[in-house]
Amino acid sequence: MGTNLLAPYEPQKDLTLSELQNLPDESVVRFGRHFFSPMMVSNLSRPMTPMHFVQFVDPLLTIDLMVGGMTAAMPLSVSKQTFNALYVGCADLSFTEVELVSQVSISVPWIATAFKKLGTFQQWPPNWNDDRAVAFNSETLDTARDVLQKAWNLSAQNSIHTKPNIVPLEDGSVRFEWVNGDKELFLTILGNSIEAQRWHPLNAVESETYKTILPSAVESELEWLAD
Amino acid sequence: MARGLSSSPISLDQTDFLYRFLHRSSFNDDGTLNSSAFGLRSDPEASVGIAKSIPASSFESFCLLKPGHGLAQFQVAEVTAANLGVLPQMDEAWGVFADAHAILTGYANWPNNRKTDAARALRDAANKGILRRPS
Repeated sequence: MGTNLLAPYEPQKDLTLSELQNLPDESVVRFGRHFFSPMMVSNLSRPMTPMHFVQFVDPLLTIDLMVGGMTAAMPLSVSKQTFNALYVGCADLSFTEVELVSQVSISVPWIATAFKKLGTFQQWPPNWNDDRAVAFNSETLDTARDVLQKAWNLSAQNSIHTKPNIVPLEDGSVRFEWVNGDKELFLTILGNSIEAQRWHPLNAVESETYKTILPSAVESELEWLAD
Repeated sequence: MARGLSSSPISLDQTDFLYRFLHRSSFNDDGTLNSSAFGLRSDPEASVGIAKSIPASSFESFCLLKPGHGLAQFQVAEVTAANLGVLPQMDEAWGVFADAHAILTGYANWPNNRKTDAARALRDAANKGILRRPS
């Protein structure tokens, strides 16, 4: 990792949420002292302007959001945990500097990949599996994102060192299949409803518990997985 | 029966192998299978192939029944262990492989949690026998 002063910046164009989220997977956004994947951004209060891109020879693309001043309302909605997960330990970055981030020192967190995967589900048409599958509605996907965010927050605090598999189901629901140690948790989401099903030990055929919950109750399921 | 199914004289033993076609969405990023490989909630008669009815020389042709799909094998005993049954049932849609067709049975009236139990168990069984990945 090294620090380069790159001046002068060349202002690019305003960046919309969609453009920000569609940056290459390996992109890294710097917002103040924090680095995160643009895929993690869930909304913008207004288009990003002015934006300054700096393309390095290495595959990582760093986007400095601060140059030009982002003094209005917080433009990003990204969890604090996400910041921390990608924080690379540069305590005093100047806003006029661009930090070169080496590939080994930073990686895209699983939640970023998961959010991107959910985004692709949104574009799948009916019959996406060539076998009469139902398309995913926005309520299901919004609930799935909400659950993912909770899961990410909790996994950072608890002893869950694995990530869930994101599973599209042909009835239009989304399932998170999550193994941790000798336990497995399924969260099957349809609309605003979540079916939570637990297995322990892993070779058990019949689930230990099964219940239908609201997103606000998902923490207890994840805490069980973490224990 | 509405889709051209009819009874089959083939009998199955616990040690017989079955095939299941796999859509690409049933594969996780790490290459393992997920439970969507067995969509028991939406399909009350999930289709499987009877391996012993498909000569090795015809295996490639059999795979072409579902172009681009993956294929996994597992044993009848693993279906039984998931509290399901297997019923050989000819399916005209499978052409020359019509009598290699069978359906999983016994779960149509189950609640969702039991269907998911079974789908998970079959996922684990099929994960041990992935023969072909989606192209």
